[in-house]
Parts: sequence; structure tokens; C-alpha cells
Amino acid sequence: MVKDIVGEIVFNKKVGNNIYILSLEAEDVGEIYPGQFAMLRIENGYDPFLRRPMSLFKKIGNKYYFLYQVVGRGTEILSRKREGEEISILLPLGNSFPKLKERENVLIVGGGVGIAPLNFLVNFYKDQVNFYTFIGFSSFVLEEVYVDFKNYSREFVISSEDSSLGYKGKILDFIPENLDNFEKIISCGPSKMLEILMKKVKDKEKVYLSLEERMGCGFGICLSCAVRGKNRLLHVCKDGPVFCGTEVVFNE
Amino acid sequence: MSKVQVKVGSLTFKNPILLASGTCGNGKEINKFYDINILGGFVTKSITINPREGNPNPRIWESYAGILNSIGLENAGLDKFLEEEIPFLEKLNTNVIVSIAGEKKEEYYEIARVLRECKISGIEINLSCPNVEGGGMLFGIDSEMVKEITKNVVNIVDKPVWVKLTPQAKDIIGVAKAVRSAGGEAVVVFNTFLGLAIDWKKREPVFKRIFAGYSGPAIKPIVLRYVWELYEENILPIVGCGGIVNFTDVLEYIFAGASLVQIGSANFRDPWIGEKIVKEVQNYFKEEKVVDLIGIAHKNHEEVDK
Repeated sequence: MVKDIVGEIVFNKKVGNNIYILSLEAEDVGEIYPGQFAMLRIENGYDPFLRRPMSLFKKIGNKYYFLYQVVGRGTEILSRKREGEEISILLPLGNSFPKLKERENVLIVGGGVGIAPLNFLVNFYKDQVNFYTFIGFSSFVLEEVYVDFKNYSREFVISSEDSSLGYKGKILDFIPENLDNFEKIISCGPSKMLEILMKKVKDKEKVYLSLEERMGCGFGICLSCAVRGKNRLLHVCKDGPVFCGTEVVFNE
Repeated sequence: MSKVQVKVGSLTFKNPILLASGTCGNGKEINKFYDINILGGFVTKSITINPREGNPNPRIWESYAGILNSIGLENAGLDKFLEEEIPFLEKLNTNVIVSIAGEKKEEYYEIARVLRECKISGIEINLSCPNVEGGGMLFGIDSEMVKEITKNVVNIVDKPVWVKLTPQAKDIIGVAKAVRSAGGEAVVVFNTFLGLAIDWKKREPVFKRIFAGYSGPAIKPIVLRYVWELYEENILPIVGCGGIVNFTDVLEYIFAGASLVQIGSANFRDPWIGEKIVKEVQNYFKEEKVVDLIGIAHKNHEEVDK
């Protein structure tokens, strides 16, 4: 059941170049599944007008965490919000990652703030699933951005394009050659990264991608977030944001 | 009679609050948030004869206190609409206005022929979509074309017909008169304003089609001005639509001369906005009737003059 709740900012901390972690304390809406997202209303007034879509990074009881990057006016205003200020949150929205089996071998590939829903996933299963995590950033981020991956993964690899963190380069240069041993491959990040990843995987059925697209509403009425699917047009907010590798097409 | 009930042409509305086409899906989507039967009515997403995929991304872009959209009439087409939406719509206990669109005149008539058999309240002719190659807004800026299409749809469909006008028409009064002479029962004022955004990082237009439709609170004063002018001319009942985000906006529209209002973009940021505004309308109109206050600002203004 989708709810509109008011969250009070616990902290809104800069954790990298243009990257922030926002922690909000609000009513507990109950179970949220990994991959689901929220629409945040940054101002109570009418400017900016639309909410901003954000995947949940983590939830602990009545504390909701979001990882975001400043990309435009809305997120810029958000980055200036301070402790105690209120933000309206519409959630939970969209579908979720597939249910993972105990001891399953899962490859996690994340790029930039696209790691947010993956972090939620890893936190959800913790030690019950064998995660092999490969995440990359363009530049330095604080450890709290990736600490959960580090704690709950069998293997953890991090890279940065400017060599300020882990290996130097894009994360796809460091993922295992042989992807056959993984029962599932779960990824979120820049669309170019997802596209290249998909080319490396033979069995597209075991891939699950969380897509990002510009959204107006988040619940299927404005039809802004259309992406081309194999057989039909898909809308990221209501058909996704998680899609199986067999559903998506990358050639626009 | 309820204090908030309004009659427009041959239709009765339990209250003056409707949701605008393209901002409430086909009802089902908003019905997940609240019982849409509490509304005066709503207008479905425009349907076309054939399915349409709509425009390439981006399709939406923010501007100050408003949005530009270029969806391009994405819809599943008439057959899917009849199969998947009509059974739900026919069971509702509120006014369901079906919006129809086309690139050619004949497409409007073909849809009207089919909808004649459906149990719906009426038709809203979309002669104002700015985001398609042919038809839409190009029909709506031309009074003669508006008259011809409206007249034919009225004759075919045998149900109340409204026309959603475009602010891009040079002679709004003339277009409204064309709707009246063609037998339309109301004018919906307005669809979106043609606007432009430049992506300064890329140094190119944001939208592939360059121009897009601007809506949201930023346009409200301009739409209100036209509602005022149309009311002065006393042509047809006015359905006000443009930038309504709260209850007092509704009052402004009614006092300026709108018999009904449609809430558009605001549904995107608050899916419960329709329900909230209906409750506030019921609360406000405890003693007075909505119908007695339509256009009241004109009368009050004259009294000040004297």
C-alpha cells in the first residue's frame, strides 16, 4: 500500500563529489522490498513542482536512507536541506528484485549512486546469500557508502575512474571473466554500463537490472518514463524499475 | 439538491472537481489511491484509433513552478481501450468523459461511432495536443476546423460533447463560438501552452520535438484571464483547467466563471489531490451553493465600480 509520509531529516551528509546520504525519520510503513523506490517532495511549496524518484539505500525501522547525486536544480536544493527540515515521501513504489535463495551465488554490479537499491538488497539478505560485489565510482566516496557491501559480500571489489578509491578504471574491467557460476546477476548504474554488462552475459534470464529514467509521477499516470522493451513499451515506474535481462532492449 | 452539485449542459456533476485528461490514467490508476466515485468526474487519457508509442525521451522537464511535457499521446488504441478500460469505466458512479484524439478528422469520427454504444457520460475532443505531428493543436487553432470536427462528432456520438481548447489559438472567443454553433456543450480551457526548454549543458533543445506543453501553477493567472473573458461573452459553460494545486485555486476559477474545474499536473505530485479538494469544497459550501457563485467576481467587480 502506497503511503505519503512526512520524513524529518536526521542528516544530509556529503559523502563524495556531489554525492549525499539523506537520512529521514518517519512513520514505519512496514516491509519494503529491495529495489522499490520512493518519490521525494523536496519543497512543500510548488517549486520545484514534481517529486524526485530515489531508490531506497537502506531502511532501519523508521529511518529511511537515500543515496543521491546532485544532477539538477531539485537535487541541488535537496543538498542544502538541513537536520530537522521535513520532506514528504511517497512510497513504496515499483516492483522489486527477485527473491533470492539461501546460499545462492549472486553477482552484484553497481555504478555510482546506482548502488543504492543494491545496498538495500544486500542489507535485506545479509549473510544468507553469497554476494560477489563489484562497484565503481567516478571519484572518491566515504566508506559508509559501501561498508554494507564490504561486510556482507564473499568478494568485494571497488574501483574509481580517478584512482582515488580501489582499482583505477571502470568496474566492468574488473568483474569475473566467467559469469556461468553465478545463479543471478543484479545490476544498477549508468545505462551504458548496463548495456555493456548485458553483452557479456550469455544467459540473459539470470540478469536483473534496475533502470533509471526521468519520471513525473512514479505511479504510472504521466507516462514519462517509457523505455523500449522486447515486445512492448515499458514504463520504469509501474513495470519496473527492475527488469529481467530478457525484457529490455539497448539500442536507442 | 446538494450545495456542490453543478449542471453543465445535459450532465449533472455531484461536485465541480474533475481530473484532467492525461493526468489520471483511465481512472483505475487513481482509484488505487481513493474511490474516484467521490469526484464530479474525470477525463480519460486521450485515445486514438491505432496504438501510439508516444515521443522519444525525455518526455518531461521541470521549469519554475511547472512542467513541460512531450508524451505524444501514448495510448493502447481504441480496441484495447474497449477491451481493457470500458468494462471498468461503465461500472463507475461518476461522470466519465472520454477524451478522443486524431491526426486526421476521420479518426475522430471513427472513434465517436464506436463510443456511441458505450455507457459513458460524454466526449472531450482533444483539439489541442501540442505534441503530435498532425491534428491535435493544429485543428484547435482554426475555428472552421473546430466547428467541422465538433459538429460531426456531436452528430455521430449522440452524447454530450466538450472541446478542449488550445491557448495557442489566436481567437479564443471565436473558437468557443465555433464549438457552440457546432452543438458542443462546454469548452475546456485549456490544454498546455507551447513552450521550450534548452538543455544548457548540451546546448540543444531538451525535447526532440523542440517545443513541448507547459502546465502547472505558473500558467494559472493566464488561464484565469481567459476564463474571465469567455464568461463575459457568455458563450458556453466553461470547464477551467490550468495550474490548480489547491482548493483556493478552485475558488478562483469558479468565481472567475468556470462551472467545473479539472485538476491536471497536480495529480503527479499528489495522487490524493482530487480527494482532498473535494472534501474542502464540501466543507466550504455548507451554506452557499456552487452554482450561485459561478462568475461571482464579475458581479462583485461591477458593484465596486458603482
